Amino acid sequence: MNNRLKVLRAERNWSQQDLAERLGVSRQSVNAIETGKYDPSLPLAFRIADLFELTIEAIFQRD
Amino acid sequence: MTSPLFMRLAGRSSLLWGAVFGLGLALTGWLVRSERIAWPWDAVLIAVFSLSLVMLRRAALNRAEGCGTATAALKAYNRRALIWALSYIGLLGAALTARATWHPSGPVLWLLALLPSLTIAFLVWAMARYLTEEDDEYQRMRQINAALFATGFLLVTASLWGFLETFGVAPHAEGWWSVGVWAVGLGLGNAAQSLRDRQGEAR
Repeated sequence: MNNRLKVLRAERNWSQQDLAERLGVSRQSVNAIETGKYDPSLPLAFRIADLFELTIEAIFQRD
Repeated sequence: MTSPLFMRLAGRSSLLWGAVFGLGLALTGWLVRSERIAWPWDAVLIAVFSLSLVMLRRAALNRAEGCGTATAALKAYNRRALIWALSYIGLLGAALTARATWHPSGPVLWLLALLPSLTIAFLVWAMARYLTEEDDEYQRMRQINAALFATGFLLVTASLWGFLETFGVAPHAEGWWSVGVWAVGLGLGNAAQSLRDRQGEAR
């Protein structure tokens, strides 16, 4: 699964740590999601979507 | 208050402290088997080398804080794991001392033999607690992956050793070694995932 997390984060000038703190996860988790090593669960995907005020499919796309 | 020397030493790699502990136990075992030392000096050496577990815990926490993975659940697990390790060594030492001093038999001997294994139940509980307390789903998945790897590693190692023993080409290994082998597997599983995480890490 591809995602636009890195771009969305950069647009807001947030570091991985900033995003991690906003989501209540570790920086390592944000890095794993951004680099496509880990696909988040649906509840976490909703939290990410809510944070960026976007829909899940606007952030995550199929390969 | 934590002393600067303690913090400086704990800043070393957790691998270093793990190696100090492992090599210390191996050295003690060799000294005992070659009859260079006897009770109580083997227990004294084990107690001294066990102190490296305190440093190992601190170093692991320092590293986790550096990587942004030191969650509250992980800190609680590390604390419980240290309690387990020290209790295991303490109870094993107490049981061996009691057997060597009083030469008990019957139910008392059974109780002494079971004493160290009680702490293993505590370790299993601590791991189960970690998995239920960890809110970070990626960290939870990593630990489950590492535990699965460790279980596979133990199954392969135990079966392999068992067959070598059956065919008379390896000495007998006591069943309690399984905890140590599983712990090594857990470390290898975590190391493999850390290596994978570091490859292509984005900022």
